[in-house]
Amino acid sequence: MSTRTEMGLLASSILVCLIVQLVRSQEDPNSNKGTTDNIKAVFEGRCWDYDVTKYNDLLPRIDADCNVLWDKFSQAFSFRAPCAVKLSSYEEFMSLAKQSLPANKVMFWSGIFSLAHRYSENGARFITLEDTMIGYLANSLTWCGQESPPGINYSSCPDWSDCPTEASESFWAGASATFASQATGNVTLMVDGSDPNKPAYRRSSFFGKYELPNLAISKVQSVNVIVAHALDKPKIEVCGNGSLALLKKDVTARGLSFTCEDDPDAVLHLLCSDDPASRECQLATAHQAGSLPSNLLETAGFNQKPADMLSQTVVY
Amino acid sequence: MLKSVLMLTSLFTIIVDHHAVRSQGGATQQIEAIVKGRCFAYRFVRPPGLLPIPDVDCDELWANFSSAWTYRESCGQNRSSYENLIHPLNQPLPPNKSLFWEETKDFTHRLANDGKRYVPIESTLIGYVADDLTWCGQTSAPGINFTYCPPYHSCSNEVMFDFWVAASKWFASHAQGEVRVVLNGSLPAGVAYGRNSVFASVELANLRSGIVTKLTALLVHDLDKPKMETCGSQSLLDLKADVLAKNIAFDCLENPPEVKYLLCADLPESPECKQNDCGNLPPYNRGSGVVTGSKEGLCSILLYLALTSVVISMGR
Repeated sequence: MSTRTEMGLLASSILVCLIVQLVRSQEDPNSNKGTTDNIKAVFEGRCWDYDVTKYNDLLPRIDADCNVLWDKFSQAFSFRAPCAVKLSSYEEFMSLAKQSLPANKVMFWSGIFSLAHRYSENGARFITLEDTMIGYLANSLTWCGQESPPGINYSSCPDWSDCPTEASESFWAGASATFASQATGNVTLMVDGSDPNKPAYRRSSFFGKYELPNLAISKVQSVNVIVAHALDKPKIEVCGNGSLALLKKDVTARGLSFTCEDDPDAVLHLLCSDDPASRECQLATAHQAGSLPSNLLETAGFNQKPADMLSQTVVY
Repeated sequence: MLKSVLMLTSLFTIIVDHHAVRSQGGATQQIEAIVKGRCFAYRFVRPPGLLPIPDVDCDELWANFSSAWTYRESCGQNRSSYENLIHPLNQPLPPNKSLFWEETKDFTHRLANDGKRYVPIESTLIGYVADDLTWCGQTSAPGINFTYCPPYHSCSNEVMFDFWVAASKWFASHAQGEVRVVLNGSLPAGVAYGRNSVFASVELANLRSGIVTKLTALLVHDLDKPKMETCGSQSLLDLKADVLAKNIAFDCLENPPEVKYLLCADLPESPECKQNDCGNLPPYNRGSGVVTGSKEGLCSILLYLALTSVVISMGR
């Protein structure tokens, strides 16, 4: 991912997958809005877009036609009561859209959406669920069914907590399980060690419920955990304590090796890119001799960070 | 034949900015579904970032876009044919956020953070829907040539080049306040600022004096490689002269912190990423918060004082 010089068409084609702008957001899944407007056009457009312009050198293409994928996807929930979706409903869609994944490149994340995706760099460093066709198609969309025509409710989807867990989690549970079951080699998990409201690892998280249990122990060797901490905020949990000790126990109980690292340099560099004047960011000292732009110092200040990377987190 | 096409393509892509990277072969398959899908996703799914979301009819957007080039020859058309598309959109651009680029597209997009930190043209609706696509027309049905398109800018009024020129002109002529351009200081043979580039001839040329107050060149150098150009090199002096001639203030920064940290995220082992004023300490203070107590020592205090004094001295 070091190429920044565009050397012509061929090199540029290789770069396509690195320079795409992934549509991603941090929607509150509990908001009571209806199905995303024009969801079919968004879904199918993403599908064709993915096929032509995304991850060409990183992930295999899908054989199934995009119209067929939409049909299988929408059949799982349309013309049904919104909470009447089963875990198995999306199985056919998942099997058609499933991709094989390169070894050692799979990265899971929990409670830390934005930083995890900046770190994974659209597949250049790691591949997240949202880089695969299944995750890419559904990322940030809202949808639910209704029994009356048109079968899709565009005005209001239920609060997830009003549905049985199986219905509310059905799609992403299946997507997560499918993703995890395709992983081989060493896998990576990024978690947030500075969230005062929830532990870095929870057995009830998607990772705990659907990903860790679905890792194929014959194909996966180790789970390497990255614990990220917001700059200038208390480190509530670090490797080896609290929920991370529990995580180690759960990973080793599955027969997998476990490693854990707090804030690897590359992660800190990313955080510092957003907040170069933070006291953790010592490279800024290299710029004291006049080359440090005044606006960076004046706007960022100490112990204030742009409310960006770690605060934008989501739990499915 | 193929070889000559490739050579021609390389030639032109070096000379000019290019967004279309799949000129090989014909128009992008399913381009209509992709453009409409991106438009709907921009309106209803993508987080807005710094830009307001235009209330645009996506079918109409496609109609206005495609009417500029479908059922026509790919070369020799009237450049103004995209006016019907671009003019009505007129998405307002926030002041101080516009980010131009030349030979640095991939890196620029990472720096812009999906339109949340800065706004490159590809974060605007018009740039977003067309990025990485290839298109050209033919007089016979279906009006789109899916077999062969002339390479980008390979002929007079080539339709993709004209699109990006028209879009860049709109983008530049609506910029306000302080703007930035990301230039490549490590081009093996090129110049970071070329007066025949789209940035120079279209974007800089269309910045409005008095409304754009300052242009800052962010000159990016590959880590651990020779710097081919610095802010004092001739092409940057050319840029300075051209900017000042428009009565716009100019600044040039080589790998400023927000840039350098992003580079270091990819190459954390680079010696340039290890430098600090604290002897042989790791590049970051790994002081812990509430969990393990503070390990931060003299180094961070010195750093704090040093940076504070910089702020104070700049305030004078």
